[in-house]
Amino acid sequence: MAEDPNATTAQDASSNFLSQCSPARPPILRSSLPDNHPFAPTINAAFQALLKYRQITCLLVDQQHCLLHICGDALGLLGEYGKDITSKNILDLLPASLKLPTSIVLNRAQTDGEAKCSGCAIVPPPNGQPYTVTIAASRDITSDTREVLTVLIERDDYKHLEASVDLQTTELIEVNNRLRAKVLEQQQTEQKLAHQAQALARSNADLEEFAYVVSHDLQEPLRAMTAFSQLLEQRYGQQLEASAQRYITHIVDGGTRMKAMIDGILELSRINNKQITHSPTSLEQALEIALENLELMRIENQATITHDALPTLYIHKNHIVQLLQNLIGNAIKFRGPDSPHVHITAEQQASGWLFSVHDNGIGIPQPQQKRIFKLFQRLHNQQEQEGYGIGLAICKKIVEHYQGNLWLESAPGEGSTFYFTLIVNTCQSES
Amino acid sequence: MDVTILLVEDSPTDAAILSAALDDVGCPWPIHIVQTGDEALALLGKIDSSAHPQLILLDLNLPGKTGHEVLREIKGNIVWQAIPTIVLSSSATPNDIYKSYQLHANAYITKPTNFNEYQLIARKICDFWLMTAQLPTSM
Repeated sequence: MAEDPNATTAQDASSNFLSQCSPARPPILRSSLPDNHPFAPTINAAFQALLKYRQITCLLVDQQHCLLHICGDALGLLGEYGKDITSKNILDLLPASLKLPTSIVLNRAQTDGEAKCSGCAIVPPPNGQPYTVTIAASRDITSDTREVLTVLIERDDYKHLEASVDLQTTELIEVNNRLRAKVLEQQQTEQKLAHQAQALARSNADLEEFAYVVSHDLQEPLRAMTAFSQLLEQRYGQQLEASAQRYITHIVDGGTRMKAMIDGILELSRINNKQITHSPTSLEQALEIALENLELMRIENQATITHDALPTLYIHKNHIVQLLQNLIGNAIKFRGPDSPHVHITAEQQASGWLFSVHDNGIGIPQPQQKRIFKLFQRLHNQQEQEGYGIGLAICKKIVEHYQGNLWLESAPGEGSTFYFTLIVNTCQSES
Repeated sequence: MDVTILLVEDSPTDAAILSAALDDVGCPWPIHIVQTGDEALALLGKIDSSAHPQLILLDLNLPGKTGHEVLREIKGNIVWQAIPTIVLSSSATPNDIYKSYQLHANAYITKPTNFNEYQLIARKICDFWLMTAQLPTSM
């Protein structure tokens, strides 16, 4: 048998005993399915799993009790059989205590067709408990008419199964605990999210309340100061000295500035208003509106404004008008000695649009470039340039409303280019 | 009772500013000032419809009933709803403006800070609502 070209090592054979049989030599042990049946590998795997689960050692031997094939050796009775042990007598391979009962069972099976013997003791390795097995054998005829014996050796007790069940139970408990921890973690995350949503809702409500207070209550005392100062001047101006009139002017100027700042804060608080809707807006038209609003300033400064083709975007119209108006307004306001020239570009990007507003104005020194986007921050005093430091803060907030960025490149005397991105949908046709 | 303009305004300074501005532009009609919405509604309920004000100037930020609530009651009343009612508020919030018109305000004016602008508004109110527009006569 050792020379048999189809013989395989026991290990190979045990891993896949059906598929090892070549068509020229029909298989020794057949499944009820043909080898090429699509279920055959599955049945084979199931058979192997059964042997392993029930801790069965299953062997095929010839009439001389020589090993033909190891279907499975879950009990490990054959020891470490790394080398080729097929064709060896199994009575020499099995533990000594099984030698006699196995020999009796095999002989009886040869004559009666099948035989069985229970309670055969096995002495396991030093650390293991002794146990007993049942040895069963049956006589079979292979398809190539050879007579073979199938030997099944199975444990009598199920202690090993209990241990396995215990192990599996422990594992299940662990998995269960892990799952519970995961669920808890999930619940905590959800709770945290709910808290955050609550905090956000509270913060929005606070902002709305703040905006309400600012628009209604805060302006009343401001109006009282400003209007009554003016009333004083109008009614009693004749009786007042020049310095008193100057003081009144300061009060009114202060009031006017504060009013503009309050309006700025309100405008800022309204940018992220949830009621704001985005609809197809032609930026060409928005630019026209912005330029109309800047008409007087444009004429006074003899400013030229040019632009690339501008797209139609899903955006809130007032937002883009204000954005363009503030940036172009600044470009004209902070002009250099030459008459202002402002150019607007637009470039579609992977996820939105990049715009730029370029001017030939006085430019902004690098160290001050970050400051200009903050509310009420100004680089020039009131005498040099009018303003409240609101426009760019609003621009930034608008751009951020569309998940975009606003930044600039500038140097004193070399003009400024303000860039901004808007992550918005583009409309295919001009509206 | 001869009420021609009813001003609903809780702030004495705001009421004084508007009165002064109306005075300055030579508005000849008497102004009756009440400080709360309840007072205004009580007054309207008390006086004969023939003596109703020709014009109501209504602040929004009032103690007790808000200006919007008062507006709702005026415009929900079959007799009072014909009286032109102008909302006069510090707020330029789109929501306040929209809601006022939704409640059938006849106009919405944002209170200015500057007295000169106040005078301008007082003049326009007189010119339009009391001299140009044809107002309903009591039925």
